Amino acid sequence: MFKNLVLCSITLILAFCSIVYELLLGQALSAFLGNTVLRYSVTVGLYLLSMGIGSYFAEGRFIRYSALTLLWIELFLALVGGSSIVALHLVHAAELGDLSIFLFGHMLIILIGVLTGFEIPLLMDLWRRKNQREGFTILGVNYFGAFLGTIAFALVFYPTTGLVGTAFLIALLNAVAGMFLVLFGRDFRKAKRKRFAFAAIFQPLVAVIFTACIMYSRPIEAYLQQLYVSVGGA
Amino acid sequence: MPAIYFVTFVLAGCSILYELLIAQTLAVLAGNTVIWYSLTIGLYLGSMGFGALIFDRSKDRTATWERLFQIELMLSVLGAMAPMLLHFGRTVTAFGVLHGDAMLVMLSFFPATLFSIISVGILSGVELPLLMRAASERLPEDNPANRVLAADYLGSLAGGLLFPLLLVPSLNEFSIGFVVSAVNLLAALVIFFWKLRRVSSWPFRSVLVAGIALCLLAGLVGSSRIEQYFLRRYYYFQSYPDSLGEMLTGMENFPYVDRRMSAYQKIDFVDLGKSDVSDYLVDAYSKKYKRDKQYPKGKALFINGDPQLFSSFDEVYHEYFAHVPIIHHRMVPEKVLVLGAGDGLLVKELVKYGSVKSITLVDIDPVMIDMAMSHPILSKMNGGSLKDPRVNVVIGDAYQFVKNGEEEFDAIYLDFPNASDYNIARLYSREFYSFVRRRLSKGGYAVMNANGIDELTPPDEYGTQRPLPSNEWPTYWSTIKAAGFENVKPYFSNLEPHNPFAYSIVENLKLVQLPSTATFEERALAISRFVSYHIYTLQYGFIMMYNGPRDPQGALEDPKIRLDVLNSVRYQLAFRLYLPEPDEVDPDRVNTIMRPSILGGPLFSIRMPFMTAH
Repeated sequence: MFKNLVLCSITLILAFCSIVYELLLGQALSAFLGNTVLRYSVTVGLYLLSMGIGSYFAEGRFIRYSALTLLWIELFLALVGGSSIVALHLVHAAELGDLSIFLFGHMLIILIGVLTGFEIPLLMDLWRRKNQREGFTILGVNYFGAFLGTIAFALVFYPTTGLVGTAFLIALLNAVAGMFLVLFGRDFRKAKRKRFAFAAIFQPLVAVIFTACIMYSRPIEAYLQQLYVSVGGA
Repeated sequence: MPAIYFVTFVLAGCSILYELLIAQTLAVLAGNTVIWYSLTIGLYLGSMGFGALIFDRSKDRTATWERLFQIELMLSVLGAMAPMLLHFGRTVTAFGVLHGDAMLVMLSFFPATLFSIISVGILSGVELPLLMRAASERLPEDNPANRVLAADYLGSLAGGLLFPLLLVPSLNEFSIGFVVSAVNLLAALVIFFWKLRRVSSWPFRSVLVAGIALCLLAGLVGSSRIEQYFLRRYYYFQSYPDSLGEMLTGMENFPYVDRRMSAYQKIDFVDLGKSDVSDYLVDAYSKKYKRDKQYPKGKALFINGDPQLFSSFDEVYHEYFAHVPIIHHRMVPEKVLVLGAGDGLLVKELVKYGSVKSITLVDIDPVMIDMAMSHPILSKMNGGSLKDPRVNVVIGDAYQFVKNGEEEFDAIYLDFPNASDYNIARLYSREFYSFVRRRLSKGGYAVMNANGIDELTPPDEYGTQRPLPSNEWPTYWSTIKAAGFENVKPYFSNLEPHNPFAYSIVENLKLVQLPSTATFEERALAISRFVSYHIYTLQYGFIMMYNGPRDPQGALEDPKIRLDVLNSVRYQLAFRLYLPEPDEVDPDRVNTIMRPSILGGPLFSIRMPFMTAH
């Protein structure tokens, strides 16, 4: 029962984080490239599509080591999502033209989408092993997390912590949630445990990095803003 | 590729289309576009999750196709009804507001909305596991659940792209609902012929499907009439009958509402007749109708249901906007950039100057520009200003235009809609103003229409007004200062309350009802209050931003242009209202694209055509 609850919470938080990353990227891209309506539709659509691609490929050998694969995915998601806004600003500052921002931004959207889509069958698999059910509960909780994410982004995160601060905050949340996957490590054969422990060290490390980023988010934001304004046009 | 994947693809597209349709309708009816879109998409995903959850809990594992058929029928009916349900809820809300009935307001629009979003969401949430199960019944060895999921996501992408790019610019919301609903009905029909032909209750089902199909067809044919009905209900809501029961009567007696659609906005031309008191009073302040008897009267332009332009007193706004900065800076700019203002009325004021050499107008909406050039009423109002050889029209995003260019201008005019959502808030951001500053030549100025600094108390007996707590002046000031401008100077389109013509109009038309025993002083006071309240509704706020001395010196040669409202007295009045400048820039108030701080309008309010008119 306790593990079910933990699994549901992890699913909820992961879905929450993913959709917030995507909305952050959509908002940043519309600031860089304009045409907000199109940008939003493309972002949400691409996100869903790449989620579909991710879940399509999450079969076979990955399913056998669900918790391990998940751990790596979480690590990667936190790193990519947390640094996405800063990276986008740096690409903008490199003055390689709008096309580079377009490609880089959409690459990030697809990457985050594919990773998120990859998670769902793995989480469903963990659930199936525990409960001998089809795992649609995970699907449901996943949607619910996305629901909370969209609302929190529009009403809370964007107007208060802003794009930069939110990216760091969500990455921290992502890394912390990922740590709880360690609870499911017992499912593995002995030989896999070492690899599992190796991956588990990185999660706290990422969490510490993003905590530091959150503490300095205002200066970072001010610096990026200066960079953004100094580059455009002339 | 088995057909089940294709069916999933189409059905997922239908579901997301319903939700986007509801979000779009909601955003038009209630404002706050980004927030309502997010809330709708979020609630949709949430209730889909709930649907999947209750499906996982249910023990019943029989009759997959049977249940799919039922769900398609329900979705079809619900989706077709949703836009009408929302509009009807809004109508009842407006009735409640007009009659001060708080219960009606609370219990009509938002419950109808939530019901539509959540029911479509739950049905789609049950639909997806059913499709997965149907697929695994057909192809048990392939583990097709993930592929169904992939088809579902792909369908959502297709729907999400189809909606803004193709459906919104070409069809009204009611016909979009009917068309998508027809696709769902078709899916039900396919399931029926494919799987359920031999079920005993087939005659009843055929009649049911045929009935729904007939209703959809009728709706599709009459969709423009439905739209016209609800548009008239919206714009002429003050003429509602006294009881709720009479609300379903037709609206044929009211003038036609001329609606144009584009990818960005819905533009309505409304004939209000000469009904508002301000329309009578404006004759006392403006020479417009004396000079030009043919000028349109009582016409109004609305964008997404928000008032933009009232033909009876449009010159108050545009003359103060265009000419006050020119007089203040003692110079007529040679190169002018106008951002927004696709209606051409601001450009009409600027082309009056012979020494203006070029005007570049940037507007995002080609439909608006087209209307300004060719609409019979609008082109009469702007005098064909956009066809002036000095005017260069650019169709594009104003933000990108100032960001990605180097050409400098002597004056930049910013005329944007109210910053009621994040899309538009970036046109009021520190970054945007920084780019504007870079595009100004030395000694040049930028001036903006500043919605929200006109949040002032009504004038008291001495004509004094104070800022309300909701006044956005500190936000604008901090943002513009942070963008590097040295001077931020507000002004208002103030008219003088002590105007003898206005008094005589009020007297002659008996606009103020007083008992016959009233003394001369009482009458004078009542009339002066009446007049000052009504010119208060014509008070718009503007902000000039520029570098160099705060009050530029120099001699402005009389440009010999004809003005209908502005004169030397009113020019002085424009600066009469004092708004205190904060001591330093407040970083939490600075509106940036990374962290917006401007968001006008309460969240849970319904748009009314005139209550936001000020």
